[in-house]
Amino acid sequence: MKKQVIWFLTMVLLAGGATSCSDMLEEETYGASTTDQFLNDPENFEMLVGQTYANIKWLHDHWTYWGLSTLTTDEAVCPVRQPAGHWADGDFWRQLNTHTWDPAGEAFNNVWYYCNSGAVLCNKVLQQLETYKHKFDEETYNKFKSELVVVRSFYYYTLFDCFGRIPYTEKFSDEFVDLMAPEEVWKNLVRNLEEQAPHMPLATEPSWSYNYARATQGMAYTLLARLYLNAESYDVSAATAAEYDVYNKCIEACNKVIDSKQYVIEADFFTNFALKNEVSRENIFVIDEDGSANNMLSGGNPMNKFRVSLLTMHYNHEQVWQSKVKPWNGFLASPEFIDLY
Amino acid sequence: MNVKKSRKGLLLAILSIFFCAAGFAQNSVTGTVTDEFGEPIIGAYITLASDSKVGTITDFDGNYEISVPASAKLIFSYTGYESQTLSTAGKATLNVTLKEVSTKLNEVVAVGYGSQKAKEITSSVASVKSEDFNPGVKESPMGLLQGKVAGLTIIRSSGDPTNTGYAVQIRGTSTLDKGAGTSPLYIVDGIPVNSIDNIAPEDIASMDVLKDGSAAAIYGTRGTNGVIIITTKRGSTDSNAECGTANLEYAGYASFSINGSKTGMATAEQYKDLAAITNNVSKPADKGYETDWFGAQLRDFAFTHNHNLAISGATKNFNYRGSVNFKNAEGLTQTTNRQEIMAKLAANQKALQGWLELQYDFSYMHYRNDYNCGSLNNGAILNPTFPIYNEDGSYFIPTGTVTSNPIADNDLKESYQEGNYFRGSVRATVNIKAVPGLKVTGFAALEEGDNHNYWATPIEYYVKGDANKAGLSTSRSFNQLYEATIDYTGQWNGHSLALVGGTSYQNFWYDGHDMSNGGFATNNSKYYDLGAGAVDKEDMTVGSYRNSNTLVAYFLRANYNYNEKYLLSASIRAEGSSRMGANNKWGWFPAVSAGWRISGEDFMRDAKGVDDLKLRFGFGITGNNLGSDLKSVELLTKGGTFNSHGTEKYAFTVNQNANPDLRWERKFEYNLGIDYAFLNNRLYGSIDLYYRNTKDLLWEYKVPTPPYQYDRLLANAGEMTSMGIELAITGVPVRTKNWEWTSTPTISFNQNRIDKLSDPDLGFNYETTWAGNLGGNKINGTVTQLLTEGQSVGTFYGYQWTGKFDEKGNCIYVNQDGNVDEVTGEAIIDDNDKVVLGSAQPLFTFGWNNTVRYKNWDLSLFFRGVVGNTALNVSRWAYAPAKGSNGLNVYYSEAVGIGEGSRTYFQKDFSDYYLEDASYLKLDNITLGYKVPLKENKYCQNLRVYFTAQNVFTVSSYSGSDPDGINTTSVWDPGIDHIDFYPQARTFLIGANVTF
Repeated sequence: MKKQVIWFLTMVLLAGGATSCSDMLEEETYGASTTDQFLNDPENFEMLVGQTYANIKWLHDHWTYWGLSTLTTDEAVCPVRQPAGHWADGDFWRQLNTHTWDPAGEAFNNVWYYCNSGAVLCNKVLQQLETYKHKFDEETYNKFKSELVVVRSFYYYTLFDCFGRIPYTEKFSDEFVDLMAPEEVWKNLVRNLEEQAPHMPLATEPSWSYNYARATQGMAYTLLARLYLNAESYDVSAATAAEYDVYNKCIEACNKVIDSKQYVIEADFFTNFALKNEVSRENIFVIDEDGSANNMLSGGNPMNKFRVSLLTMHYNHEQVWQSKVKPWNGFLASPEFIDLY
Repeated sequence: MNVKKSRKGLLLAILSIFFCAAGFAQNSVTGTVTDEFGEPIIGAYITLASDSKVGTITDFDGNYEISVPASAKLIFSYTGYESQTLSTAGKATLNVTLKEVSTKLNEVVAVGYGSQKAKEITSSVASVKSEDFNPGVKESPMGLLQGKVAGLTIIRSSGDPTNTGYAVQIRGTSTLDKGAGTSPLYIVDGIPVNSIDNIAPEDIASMDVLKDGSAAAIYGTRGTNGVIIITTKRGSTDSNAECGTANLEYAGYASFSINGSKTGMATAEQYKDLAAITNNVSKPADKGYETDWFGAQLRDFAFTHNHNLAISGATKNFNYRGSVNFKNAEGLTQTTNRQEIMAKLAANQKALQGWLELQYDFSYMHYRNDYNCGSLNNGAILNPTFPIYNEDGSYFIPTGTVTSNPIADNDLKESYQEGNYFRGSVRATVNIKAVPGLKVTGFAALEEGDNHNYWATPIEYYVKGDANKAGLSTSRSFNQLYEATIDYTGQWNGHSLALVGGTSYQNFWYDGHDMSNGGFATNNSKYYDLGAGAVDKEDMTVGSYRNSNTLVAYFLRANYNYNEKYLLSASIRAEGSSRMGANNKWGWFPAVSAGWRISGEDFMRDAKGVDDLKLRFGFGITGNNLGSDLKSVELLTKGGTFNSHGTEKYAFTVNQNANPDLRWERKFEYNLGIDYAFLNNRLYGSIDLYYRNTKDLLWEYKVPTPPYQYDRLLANAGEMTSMGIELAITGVPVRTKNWEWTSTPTISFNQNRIDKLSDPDLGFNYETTWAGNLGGNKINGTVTQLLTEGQSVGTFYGYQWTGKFDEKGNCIYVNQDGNVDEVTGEAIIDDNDKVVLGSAQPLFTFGWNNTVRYKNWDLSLFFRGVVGNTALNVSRWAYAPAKGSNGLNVYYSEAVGIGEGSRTYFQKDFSDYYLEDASYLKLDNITLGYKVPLKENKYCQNLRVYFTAQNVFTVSSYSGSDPDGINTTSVWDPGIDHIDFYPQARTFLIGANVTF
C-alpha cells in the first residue's frame, strides 16, 4: 500500500518537473506594442509626443473648458429644447448662463481631470524620452524635451487659470501629489517657459504647415506673457511680482512674438475660423480637429471632432449639408452678439 | 471465459462434497459477502431469520463464520444493499453477492478529474441524469436543467431561437462583473470549453453541478462561479455483446409554438379611444389607420423539428457511439430561423492486454441563423394609426421618435449568420499493472469555432445614410488543452484511497475581422463583392483583432474513506494565468471536505427506515479569473490624431493605468450538508447550507490624476458575502405494481451583501455607483439601483411613493428629510429623499417535478417559480400615456388605470410607483408519454411516443409579458425588465423515441 502511494507521488513529481514552465504565462500582445518594440524605430517617438496634442482636444469639448468658458459669457447660450427635454442635463447649461452653477458640476471635474491627465501624459512621455535617451542625438532629444515641457506648461496653465491650487508635478511616478500653492505653480511655469522658449522652433521653421497645431516659440512666449500679465490675479504676491518685474517681462515676451515676424493680423477676420484655417497667419496656437475622423478614438474614448459645427447646427442641417453625423442643435448666440461682427 | 467456467466447475465440485455433510444438528457456516464487482463487503450483517439475536458481521475481507441450527434461514443485509434470505440447508459455505439498491446514492457522479459514488461525496454536487432532463425544445443544454437543481438559477430571457443564451448562475452573485468572469465553467467530457451550444440534448448522459467551493476548487481560477460537468453518451461497456451487433436509436420531435406573451401595448382601437379611456388626460395622435405593427411581424405559429439518430455497439475491447442530429427551429417572428446539423462520435478501445485504454471523442456542428431585420420593439411602440403602406403602395415612413417602418425593414434588409464548431479529444490511459490501481493518463483536446455574419441593405432603402451598404464579419475561437494525470486507487482493511494528481495546460485564442462598404452599382454585389463599392471608399470600414490567454495548472486530490463511513477529501490546485499581473501570476486553491455516513454506524443498524444518512462539511478557496486579456500591462495603442510635419497622423499612447498587481478574485466557501434516504429509499435528497465570502473583488476604482494618467484603475479590493440554504427532496408517495408517483420539490434561498468596495490605504475610495440603467423613450439613461457597501446587488433606490397623487396628477413622494420650501411651504424632494425600495433578488426560487406512471403510461408536470423579487417593467413606465398628446403607442393598462384614478400619466422620476412584485409560479411543461407494448420482434425493441406542452401557464401579479424572462442574475441590471417585446413561446410538441 505505502509502496503504491510512493509510486504515485514519485510519478506526480516527475510529471510536474517535466512540464514546469517559465514564459508560458507571458501575454501575447498582438496588435499592441511595448514601448521597447515601438521605439525600435526612434522616429516613432514623435507619435508618443503626438498624443499630448491629441488630448488637448478634450479641452475643446462643451462638457469641459471650452463649454465652461463660452457659455458663461454672452458669446453663446444653450437653452433646453422641448418637448423632448434635450439639453436639460440637470439644468447645467442654464446655470452657466445665469452664473448659478454648482461647483460639483461634471464639467468642472472634467477640466480638472483632462488637464491633469494631459500633464501626467507629458511627464510619462518625458520619462520615456529619458529611458530611451540613447536612441536620440542630442538635438532631437532637446527638441522633444522642450516641446513636451511647453505642452505640459500649457495643460498646467489652463488648470492653474481655472483652479489656482493644483497638484503640480514634473515627474511621472506612482506617488500621490499634494496641492501646490499658486505662487509656487506660477514660479515653476515661468521658469520652465523662460528656459524652454528660446529653444522652441519659430512658426515658419521650416514651414508654417510643419508647425501647425504644434507648440512653437511664439506660443511659449505668448503663454509666458499671459502668466506675467495676470500674475497678481493668480495670487502671486506683490513682492514676487516686483521681484520678477512681471509687467516689463510681459512686454518683453510680447515683443519676442512680434519681433519674430511670424504673425500678421489677417485682413479677413474669418480666415482664422475657416474650416481649413492652416492659411491663417494670425493664429499662434490651434487645436486641430479633423472632420473626416468624426468617430475616431482618443485616449480610449470615442471623441467626436468638429464639435463647434455639431453643437451649433440644427438636427435638420443633416439634410441640408448631407452630413454623415446628425448635428446636435445645441449652442445658440443672441442676434445682438452676432451683429457685433 | 475459460477461467470463469473452470472456477464455476470447481465451486460445484466443492459444494457437492459439502452436500454429503448435510444433516448435522448445529453446524458452522462460513463464506464471503461481496458486492456485484466482487469487492468484499465489510461489516455486512448475517442474522438468523428465526432469531434476530443470533448473528455476526463480516470482517475486513468480507468473510464470516456463524453457528446455526441445521437448515436455518440466514438474512444477509447491508445498508444500501438489497437484503437476501438464504437457506443453509446442506451447506457449510455460503458465498453471497449482495446487490446494491439502485438509488441516487449509488450513482456515479463526475467531480472533475474523476468520478465518485454519490454516497462518498463530501461536497455539494448535484447530478442530473438524462432521464430527468426537461423535455421539449431547448436552445442549449442549460435548458435541460432549468429549475431542476436547487441553487442553480437558469433564466431564458429571449424566446428567439437564434439566441441560444441562458443566463446561468450558481448560488447567486459572487462577483461584481467588473473585469472578472460571471459564467460557470463548463466541462464537456473533460474539456473546459468555450461553448456548449454544439451538444445535442439527446447525446448527453448526465450533467453534474459542482456547487460549493470544496468541489470547485480543483478548477482553481475558474471555480468561483461553479462548475457544470457535461458527460456525453458512449457505447455500452458490456463486453459480452456479439461482435458487430449495433443498436440503433432514434429520438425526434416536431413542435409548433405560438405567441405565449402579451406586449401590454394598446391596440389601434384602444389607442384611438385613449381620450375617452383616460378622461381626456391623455390623447392619441390619430392618423386614421389601424395597424398591428407587432402582429404583422409574427408568424401564426412557428414550426420546429429535431431528429437524432444514434448507432452504438460494443465488443470486448472496443465500443463506440455515433450520432447525427438535425434541427430546424422557426422563430415566432417572420424570417427568424435557426438550423443546426451536428455529428458526434465517441469510441473506446482497450489494447495491450488491458495495459492501454484509448478514448476518442469528435463532434462537429454547422449552424445558420436567419434574423428578422424589422424590429418588434418598434412594432410594439409605433403609433398604431399609421399605415404600413402609403396610398401609392410605397412604404409609409413614420416620423417622430421612431423613424423606421419595421415591415419595410424586414422586407428590404438582409442579415444572417453561419458557423461551424469542431471539438475533438483523445485520452490515452496506461494501466500500470505492476502496481495495481495505478494508471497514467494523457489527454489532448482541441476546439475550433468560427462564426460569419453577413448583412446587406439595398439601394432602394428609404434612409439615405443606411442605403446601399453591405458587410461581413468573421470571428474565430480556438482552444487547446493538454493534460497529464496519474491516478491511484487502493483498498486495504476497510480503508479506501483514491489519489489523482496532474498538470494541465490550456491556451485559448480568438480573432476576427469585419469589413463593410457602400455605394455599390447594383444590389447584387453586397457581401459577395465588397470591393465593388464607391470609388471614394467613403463608406469602407475594416477592422481586425486577435487575443489569447493561457492557463497552466498543477493539481492533486486525495479521497479517503474508512468503510464508507468516514469520508475525507482534500485537494489543491496551483494555477497560473497569463491574464494576471506580473507580480501575481500564480495562485493556490486548496479545498478540504469531510463526511460522516451516520447510517453506516452500528448504532444505526436498528434504525428502521433509514437507508442512508450522511453529514458533510466542506471548505474551499476558488478563484475568478479576469474576463479579458492585457489588463495588467502597459502597451502602446492607437490614440488620437495630431499634425506631424504637415500631415495628420495617429498618435500612440499607453491606453490604461497598468496594474502589475492584478490578481484573481478569491472566494472562501463553507458548506454544511446532509444527504438522506429514508423509508426504503422512497424519500431521499439533500440539504445544504453555505456561506461564501469573496475577497479581492475586481473593481474599477476612481484614482487620482496625478499620479495616475487615467482616472480609472482595475484593482482588487472589494469584498462580498452570500449565504443560502438549498433543499432537494424526492419522494415516492405511491409505488405499486401498476402505479408510481414521484415528486421532487427543490427550493433555494440566497442572500448577498457587498461588504466593501474600497481600500483607502491604496487610494481606492468608495464612490456611489449606480446601476440598473434604463433605455427607452423619455427615460433613457435613468438609473434605478445602487451598488453600495452594506447592500445587496440589485437594490432598487429612489423616491418612495405615498400612494397619492397631487391635484395635477403627479405622484407625491415621501419627504424623508422633511425639507420644505420656506416660501411656498411645499416639500422639497431631492436626492436626500431617495431610499431603498426593494431587491431584485428573489427570497427563494423553487422547482417541483411530478411524475406519475401507470403501466405503460407516464405523465409529468413540472412547475417552477421565484418568490419575493421586485422588478421594474420598463415598457410600462416608458410608454405610460403622457399628459396630452401621444405620438407613440401607449401601455394599455396604464391608460385604463388613469381612467379609474388608480394610475397617473407618465412620471419622470424613478420611484416605487413603477416597481412590482415579480413572483411567479409557472407550469413549465406537461409531458404525457406512452411506451408502446411490442411483441418480441426483429425490428423494433422499444417505442415511446410522447406529447409535451411547454410554458403552459404562469400565475403572477406582474404586469409585464412574462416574469420568467426577467434576469435576476446580472450585477448591473437585475430585475430590470427591459423593453424587449420578443414573445415567449408556448410550445406543443409530439415526439418519439425508438430503439431498433
